[in-house]
Amino acid sequence: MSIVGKLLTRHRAALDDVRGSVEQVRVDLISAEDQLAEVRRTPAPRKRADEAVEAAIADCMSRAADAVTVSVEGGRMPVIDLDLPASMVLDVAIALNPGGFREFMAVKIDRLYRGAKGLSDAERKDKITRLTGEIERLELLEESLIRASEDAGLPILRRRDARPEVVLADDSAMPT
Amino acid sequence: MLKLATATRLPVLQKIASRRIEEARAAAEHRNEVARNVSSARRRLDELKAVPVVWRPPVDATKDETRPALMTTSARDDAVADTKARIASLEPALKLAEAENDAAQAARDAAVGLYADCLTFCREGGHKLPPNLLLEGADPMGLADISGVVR
Repeated sequence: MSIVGKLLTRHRAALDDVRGSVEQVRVDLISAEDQLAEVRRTPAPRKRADEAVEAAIADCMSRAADAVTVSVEGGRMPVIDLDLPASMVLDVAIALNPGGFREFMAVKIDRLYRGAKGLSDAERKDKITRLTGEIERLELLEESLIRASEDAGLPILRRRDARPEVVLADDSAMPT
Repeated sequence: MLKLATATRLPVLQKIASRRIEEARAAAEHRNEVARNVSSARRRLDELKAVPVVWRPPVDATKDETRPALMTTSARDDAVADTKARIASLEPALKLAEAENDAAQAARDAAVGLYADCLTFCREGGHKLPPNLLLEGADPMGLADISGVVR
């Protein structure tokens, strides 16, 4: 093989190496972004959902108590006013059967959680901070590999959705 | 908060986007040239198939009738075989040129789009912008409307 041929082979091998490294960083980046999206999607702890159901039942009972009135005028028979607005019908129904509503909601909540415990606000905040930091570290690593490759005359395409803040970062912000 | 170097990084991204625009234009021209060659060879094949191999006198010799050139059967068969071989050799080249063109257009769109995003980021963030930020080149993505950076 000629000298030029050997140089070209080395050039291609070097480009393949650095492309492989960038691809690996991109895979890690996608994984970290998926984890972050999952953390953001995860609901609050199951206990909070149960508490929300109890609060809803208490609200309904309170509104229903005001909605149905009994009055007595001039010593005659008590007058029971059942002329409810449509929006109050559900409140009264839940107030009359809170246990049924609790079971009905439990099925829906079970389906939503599917065995997951949920995340407390503090846990969610911690995970978001950790994953956001990891994503930034990976983005900077990707950018530093691309810059090193460009400096060596081996250009690699940046992602269309690369973050401008990272692409415009000073060299001193790149991982060493 | 990352330390930014907009004054040095934007011109680099601008240069990359300009290069991608040029590469995309060159790839499109190459693809069109190969496509023209394939069309021309296919037309030639159709013409050859239409050439009569048996001589016939003009229907009316007093009229100026355009008659196709005559060929012997073997000459026409040879020409048809040559043209078919040429088409067969050009078709893979056309496929390759089309794939290269698609990749070049995608690379251009990505580089120009990212450059436009960076300019928008700098403008919105109140960062100082260097002069001469325009990109010379076609604007097939309508980015001029978004960023005002391409002409």
